[in-house]
Parts: sequence; C-alpha cells; structure tokens
Amino acid sequence: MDRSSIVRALISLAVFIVLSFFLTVLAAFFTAVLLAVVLFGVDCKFAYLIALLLLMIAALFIVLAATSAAEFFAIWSFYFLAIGVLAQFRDGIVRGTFEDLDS
Amino acid sequence: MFRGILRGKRHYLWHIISIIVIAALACLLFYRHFSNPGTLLHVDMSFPTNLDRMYSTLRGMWYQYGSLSVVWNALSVLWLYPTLLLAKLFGLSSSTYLWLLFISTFALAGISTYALAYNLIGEFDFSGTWNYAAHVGAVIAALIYMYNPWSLGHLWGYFGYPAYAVMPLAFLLLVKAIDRKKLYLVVVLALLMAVTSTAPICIVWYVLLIAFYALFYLIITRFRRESVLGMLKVLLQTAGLYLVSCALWVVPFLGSQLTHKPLVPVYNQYFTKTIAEGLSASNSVLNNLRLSGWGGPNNIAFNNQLAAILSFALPLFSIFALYILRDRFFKNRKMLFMGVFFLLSILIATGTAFIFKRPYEFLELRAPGSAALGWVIRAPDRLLFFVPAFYATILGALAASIMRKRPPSSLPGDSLDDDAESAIKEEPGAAEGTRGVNRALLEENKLLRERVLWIDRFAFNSRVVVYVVVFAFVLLSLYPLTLLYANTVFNPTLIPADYQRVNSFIKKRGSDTRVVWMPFAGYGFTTTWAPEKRIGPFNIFGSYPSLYNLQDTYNEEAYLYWVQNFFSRAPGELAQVQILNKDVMVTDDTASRLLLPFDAKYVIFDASVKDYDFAGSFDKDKSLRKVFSSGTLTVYEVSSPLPLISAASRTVKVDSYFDNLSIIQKYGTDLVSRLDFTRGNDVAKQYGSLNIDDYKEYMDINGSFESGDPSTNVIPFWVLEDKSGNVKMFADNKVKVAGKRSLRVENTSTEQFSIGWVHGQPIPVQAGSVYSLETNVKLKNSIWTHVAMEGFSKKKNDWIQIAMCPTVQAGDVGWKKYNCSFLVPDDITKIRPALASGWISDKNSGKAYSWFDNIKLARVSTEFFQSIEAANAPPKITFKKLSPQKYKVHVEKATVPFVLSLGEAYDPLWVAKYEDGTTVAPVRLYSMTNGFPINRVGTNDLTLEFRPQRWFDNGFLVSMLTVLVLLIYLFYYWVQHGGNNAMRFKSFMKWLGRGALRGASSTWEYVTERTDY
Repeated sequence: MDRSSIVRALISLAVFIVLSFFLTVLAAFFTAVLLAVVLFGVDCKFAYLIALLLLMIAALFIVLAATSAAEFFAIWSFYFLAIGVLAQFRDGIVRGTFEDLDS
Repeated sequence: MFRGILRGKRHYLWHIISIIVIAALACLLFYRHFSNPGTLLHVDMSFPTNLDRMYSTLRGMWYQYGSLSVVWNALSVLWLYPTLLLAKLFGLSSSTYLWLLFISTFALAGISTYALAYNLIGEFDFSGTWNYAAHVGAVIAALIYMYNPWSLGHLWGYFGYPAYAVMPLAFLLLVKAIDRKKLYLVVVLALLMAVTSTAPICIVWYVLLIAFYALFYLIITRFRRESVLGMLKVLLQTAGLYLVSCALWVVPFLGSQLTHKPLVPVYNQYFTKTIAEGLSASNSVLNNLRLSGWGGPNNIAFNNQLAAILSFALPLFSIFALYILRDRFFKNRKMLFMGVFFLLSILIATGTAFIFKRPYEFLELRAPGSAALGWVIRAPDRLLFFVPAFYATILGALAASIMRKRPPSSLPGDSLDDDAESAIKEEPGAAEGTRGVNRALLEENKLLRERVLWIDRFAFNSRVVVYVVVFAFVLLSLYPLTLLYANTVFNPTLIPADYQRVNSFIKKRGSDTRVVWMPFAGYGFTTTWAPEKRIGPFNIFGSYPSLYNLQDTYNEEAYLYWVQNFFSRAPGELAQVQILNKDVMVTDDTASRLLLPFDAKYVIFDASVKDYDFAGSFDKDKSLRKVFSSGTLTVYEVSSPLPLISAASRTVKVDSYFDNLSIIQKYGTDLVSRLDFTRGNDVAKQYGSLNIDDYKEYMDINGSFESGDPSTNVIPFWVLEDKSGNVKMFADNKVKVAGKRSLRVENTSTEQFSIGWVHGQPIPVQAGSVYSLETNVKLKNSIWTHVAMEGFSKKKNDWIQIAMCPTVQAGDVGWKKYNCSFLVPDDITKIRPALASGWISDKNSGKAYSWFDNIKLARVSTEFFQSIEAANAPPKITFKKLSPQKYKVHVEKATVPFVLSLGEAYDPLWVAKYEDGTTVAPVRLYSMTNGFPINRVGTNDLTLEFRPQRWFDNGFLVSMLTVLVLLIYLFYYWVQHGGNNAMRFKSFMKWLGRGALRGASSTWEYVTERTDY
C-alpha cells in the first residue's frame, strides 16, 4: 500500500467519524464508503448494475406489499446509483475537459 | 424549398414537426374538452369566473370576493398579465382562456425539454444514427417530462408549474450564460426566471439550480481565478436584473419585513414539527425515485398493484439508460451535472423522512429567518422538480441512440468483390497455387465477415426489441395516472347556470352588495353536479364581496366555522360542542343577528354541496326572508345588516361563541349591532372591553371532585346511574387536570349505546339567565363519551338534553377543555350536568375509561348585562370606498374610545391611519375580522388601508420599466448580431424609412403645389 492510498483511506475514516456525529451511523458509513470509492476510483458499470438489481428487488417487494423491505432495497439502490454517478464525476474531473465545455 | 431546409444544418422543418407533435401530445391530457364544454375546475384550480376578476387579482393586493390577501399573486403578474391581455384582445371566455393557459403551459414543458434533450443528444454525437433520431429522442423526452407523475400532480396546483415548464430551458441558458459570459444571455435568463417565478417555491428551485451549478462549474474548472470571477460576474448580473424585474413582489416583501409583519400564509402559525414530519412522511427514497411522494391522486401507485409495478418503470429504465450510455455520460458536463443534481434532489426531497431529518427540520423551523421563510419548503416533494428532467433526457438519449441504420443483410455481391478478384489476378509473378491460397483466404475472410455481419444484425435486432420493450413500459407506466387526471381533474366541469342567475339577482342590488355563502368550503367540497371532484371556492371568487375568509381555512376557531356548525346538522360535521333541542333552546329569529359580523345583506345557501344538512335552518328562521331561488341555490335577505365599517361601544371577550349566541338572544338588533365579540385579549378595557369570565357566579357542584372521603369512591353531588353492573366510578388521584382528584368512570360493556351515566345535582334556574359550562374530558378505548347538560322541561315534565359539551368522543383522547353557554328558555326550570361514559371501542384493549375534571357551571351575573346596556352609543361612522384596499372613514362625535370594525378578513397588514400619520394596528374580532382600537374622541378622519397595495404599485412601475428596457436591449442586440434574419429586418426597416421619406416629400410637394394654385 503506497503512501497516497493510506492518506485516502485515512480521509475516508475521518469523514466517517465526523459525520457519525451529525448523521446516522449507516449514513455516515455509506458516505465514507462513497468517498473511498471516489478517491480510489471504481468502474461505475458495477455500481449501476447493482443499483438496477436492487431497485428490481424493491419492485418485487412492493408487489408482495412489503413496503419497508422495498424501502430498504430502494435506499441501497440509491446508494449504488450515487456511487456510480460520483465515480463518473470523479472521472470527469480527472480527465479535466468536457466535450461540451466552451471555455 | 423544404429540401433546401432539410439539407441545411438546422432542421427547421423537423423542429416545427416536433413542436406540433408535442403540442398535440399535450392536448391528450385535456382530451375531454374537445367533445364536452365546461371549465377547468378542481380544489386548487379555482379561478374567478370572468377575465376582469382574474385581472383584478393581479392588480389589487386584497381580493374582496372572498376577503383574501392576494399579495402572492404579485409573483404571477409577469406570467399571467400578458396572457390575460391577449385573452381580452381575442375576446376569449374565462373557460377557454383557462383551457388554453393549461394546455400551452403543459406544452411549454414539453418544448423546453425538447430543446434541452435535442441539445444533449447532439452533443452525445451518436454516430450512424438517422437524421431524425435526435428529434424523436427529444420528443420522447418531452413526453416523459410532461406526463410523469410529478408533473401531473403539480400542474393540478398550477401555481409553480410555469417555472417547472421552463426549467430545462433555464438550465440550458444558465450553462451558456456562464460559459460565454454574454450580457444578452444573462438578460434572457433573468427575464425567463422573472416571468416564470409564479410561486415562492419557484425562487427556491432557481436558487438551488444556480447555486449547485455554480459550485459544479467551479469544481470542474478547478476553481481557476478567471472562472470564479467570470461566474461571479454572471451570477451577480443575473441576480440584479432578476430582482429589479421582480420589484412588484420584492418591494412588498421588503415592506413587510421592514414593518415586522412578514408575508406568511395564515396556516404558517399552525406549522409545527409534527406537521413538518407529516408532510415529509411519504417522501421516502422509494417514493421519490418513483416520483410518487405526493399525496394527490397519484396515490394510485399505492392502491393499485399494476400501477405500483409500473411506477418503477421510470427509475429502473433511467438507471438502465445510464448503464448503457455511461461512456458518453461522463464526457458531457451538462448530463453529469444533471446526474449529480438528480441524486441531490432525491435526497433533499426526503425532507425529515431520511438522513437529512435534523438539518431539514432546522431549516424549516429554527434557522434564522425560518419564521418567515421556513414554510416555503414545507412540502419536500416539490424539491423533486429536477428529477423528471433527468429521467426525460437520459431516456430520450437512449431512444435516439437506437435509431441507427440497420446493418446490411448480406455482404455486397454474392462472390468476392471485384477489387479482390482483380488483385488476385494481377498479382505479379504469383503462381497458380499461391493464387489458390489467396482465394481460399479471401473466401475464409468473407465467411468471417458474414458471421460478424450476422452477429451485428442479431445484436442490433435484439437491442431494438429490448429498447422497444423498455419504451413500451415507460409509456405504459404514464398511462394510468394520465387517464385518472384527464378524467377527474382536468376534465371540463359544467357549472350549473343557477350560479349565474343568482349573481344576476345580486347584481341588480348593486355591485358592492355583500353576501354570505353557506356552506363554507373549508378544504374544498364535493357537489352533486361534479361528484368526481373536490371543488374549490369558485362560487365565492365569481360572486360578490363577502367575508368568506379564505385566509383562515385552517383556523377552526374562526366564527365562520362556528356559525356553520350551529346551523348544520350533518353528523360528519358534528362540532365539538352543540346546543340540542334548538326549538326549545334557541329563539327562531337569531340568524340575522348571528350573521351581523359578515356585514352581508344576503345569505346564499348552496344545497348542491354534499355532506352538509342544514335541515331548513334558514327557512325556519323568521329574521331571514327568502327572496330568490334557482335550482339548488336559495337567497335569503338578512334583516338590518351592518355596514362594512362600523363602531362597537362594547367588545365582549368570550370563552366560546355560545356566549355570543346567549347574549344576542337577549337583545334586539339595535343593541347587538353595538357589540363585537372576540376570543383574544387584544382589546384593552379602555376601549369598552368586557370579559365574561369576570362576571361568572360559579355553582357549588363539586366539579373538581375534591370533596368527599378520598379513601372511598363516594363523591358528593354525583350519582352513578347504572343497573347493568358494567359501569363503576372512582376518584382518581393520578390522572387529573388540577387539584388532587378527577372522576374516572370505567365501562366494561361492548354493547352499543350501553352508556354509563353520572348525574350531577339539579339546580333551579330562572328563564332569561345565561349559564356557562366548562368541562375537561379525557378518554381511553371508549366510544360515545361526552358531557350533556340536561334541562327539566315543564311541557314534557321530563329531563331533556339541552347541550353537549363535548359532543360524543371516541378512541383515545387526551385532556381537552370545552366551553358552552346557553340562555335559559321559559320551558326549562332546572338544569343538571350529566357525564356519559362510553362503551369499549376495541375489545382487545381492555375496559373503556372516561375521566372528567374541573366541571364548572356558572351563571353570568346581571351586572354583566347592565354593563352592556349602560354603554354609550357608538359614534356615527360614515365611509367612502376608494378601492377594495382603501377606505376613507369619518368618525363623528366619539365620546369615549371604541373599536372600529372592518368586516374584511383579519390581516396584520391592514392599518388605520389618522390624518397626522399616526397608525393603529388591527386586532382580531370573532377570530377572523379586523378591529381597530380607536382612542381619540371627538370627530376624526381615518384611512383604512391594506399596506401591500402601495408597495405593489411602486414595485409594479419599477418592474414594468425594467422589463421594457431589457426587451428593448434584446431587440437592439438581435438587430446588431442576429445574422440573416436581423439583416433582412434592418433592410426592411431601411426600405420602410426610405419609402416613408419619399412619401412625405411627395406629399409635401403636392401640398406646396396646391398652395401655389
């Protein structure tokens, strides 16, 4: 593990600790994971696929009238969607230019 | 010509066709209007019934037809004013105008999305797609943006829809303005925002969009100095131009802030943490993703299983599209921002229901300024405004990506192509054998190419099938809700002609004739002529001036509710306290005196409103005279109504309006017209205030249950009457309101109407006395618990119930206090309180418990009535109506301070102003009208004024001038830089100028020649 990886991991940990004072532990944990994903870089493809799958499961639970289970899967679907979009955001920033940016 | 256009870079024809298609698609929601006449009508879609009235809601800040502050309408002026002018120009009826307004705004949402989606699809640059792919994709995006559940639900309210409609366009303009930093783009953006900020929530939307995009822009440009400075310049210019263009609502807003009377809706005072949580309750992540968080008819997603499954189509296939287009997605800045903003919107729109609970609650209720502005974000569902744009554009882009040319079914030619053949033949020095090998290789290559082609074709066909299924699901998912809205919300309503007939009748009595409509709409009602709808107060808006008090829809203490509950006998509307046996207890000529605070000459009773049963209350009352009737509407004339502005020599502070009822029954109209009633403590004694509590003589009935031996359950003065053995009473020293004990009655019966009665001691009474009863009641798992006041009837020689205080209660209810009073009629000689303990509500929850405490029975002393009778006559008041917002009042010979009453709904921004500029703030009378305590005696002139009108008039001037200047600037810019069209326009103007000059000189020559003759 190189030094920059250690720094990135430490930043994620610090964010988790700070956020857990303001948000729920689950939300703080997720935010920290999300940050780690963005810092370390990940292919958004998997995140989108998982989000898709989880939302389909949520739909199935709605059919079974299990609303709280559906809500649980929808939240996790949303989390993975967020990972995918933010990973792409990170890629966009790293690439530095956008095709539609005039200036 | 068309071929020429098609060959050009700009596909004008395709754009025109697309816009026509979008407009046609927009009409589908209103399809029933094409075959049936009628008006767009629903509870939040109540507009005045003619264009002049609509216009007056934009220019006047107080709307007299419903007694309503319409300061909020200042936000809609720039949007509705031009459309109303056009409607008047073309002579449209109000129903046609509304229909066109709704269709065009709805279509505008589609066109604006079309522009954004077309732009984005163009930037995605899908190679190999057909020419029209981008247009079709953009039209699909428009369709989704128009018909998604969020859009339909918010078109219903209309108030913020114009901003939603242009949001994609505003986003596109914002991006361009920040990129290019051109003033004309800033001007267009500011104007677009100013015109479409039709509700406070629209301002929140624009602020969120701009703030987040600015941050995003700075991140992607890595906070470079020139980016920061350029962006700040654009934002400051936009904000400045926007605020000046919106001076017509900015000035009233600032005025209200400076006078410490912030412009907040009346319901803001009832806005608590519980209500905030209730409003966020259905905004879970699951519902937000499906755009089903709002509680309107789109609850179909919760009630119908097929609809519930279909509601997942939009989010599921949007994620699918995101997955497919991910490689292009992150290269495009606009799309990436939309993705990030979509996520944020879903999260913020959970309000207090998810991880943002604490910050959201803080913003709503405790942050600095939240008292004035927190209510704007009360419904977090509205913060999903950008989510439909994301779904629409990503799905539109997916649709465009598939519209590519189909791979050929076979390789060109049956054998090797000619070039390959000739190459083999012409290969210099190649032996026959080698040639054979080459041929074999080429044949193999051909086979390979055919296989690749087959795979290409298979992949293409599979993709087409998958995408067709995807879009079929997406479109199908929009269908059920669209149909529901088309048939029950946006369908035409045929308003019975009776309303027009009644209005014509009133009109003959003068345009300022005030009326009272019964019943009061409250949260809206259903009628026999539109049973599928919840109707708003269109009759009030379309009728004559009235104290309908739409301001106080949520104020259940308002006198209007009390009056309605007094006359109405519908069980569903049973009030908390009621007088019973009205034929004995209430004289049959009280209605006109009860209606005095409305300052109305006529009562219009609408029998078409369902669930209200007035049981002929108005027909029976001798003080009302039936003067007109048409269909379900009946008009009664009120005897001796008060003018809109009057003076009261006594203002009585009462505990409930039953005190009012008891007092007015003792006196004739002359004396009653000198009185005002209030439930507040705002009127000081010097202005003639009388507090009824100061004149109560309490009876010794052991109503606090303190007397008696605490170790036994014998409670003096109270007797349990129960033969079944199911009911027992106890002195409870744990659950109480005050003192040491309360009375607890336990009922173990589950049988209906098996009530346990505890009677108080009979008390002899004198006819003409006023008695008041105060009770405190709590119940657990009980049905039908209540307190009755019984009176002994001489005629019937038996006890009869004369009042219920409270009326029947059920379930679990905490301690609540109830007040009632009554005038003792001739027939009643004795009274006694009777405590009713209800039977078990839920068998699984044990016994039924009812607690009673602090039962106070008092007689109002004769000194109180003497004090009313001895009051000086109020001064003579004359007034002149300058406008619905301003009255000139002349007070003649006031001998003592008094309260000046204005029969418009209470609003703290009404003010009374003396000629020297001294002002008097209003207090609430009857919990709903304005009273001004006047301390100057003698003869005085005052002005009663609704202050925001002056602020609006000043702001209106600034706004109009700014908009005019900006439009001239844009026109000038277009002429200078507008390309060919502008050049043609300039040439035309020059030609026109030259022609005019030539014409003028010829005329001059002709005139001078004629003069020479």
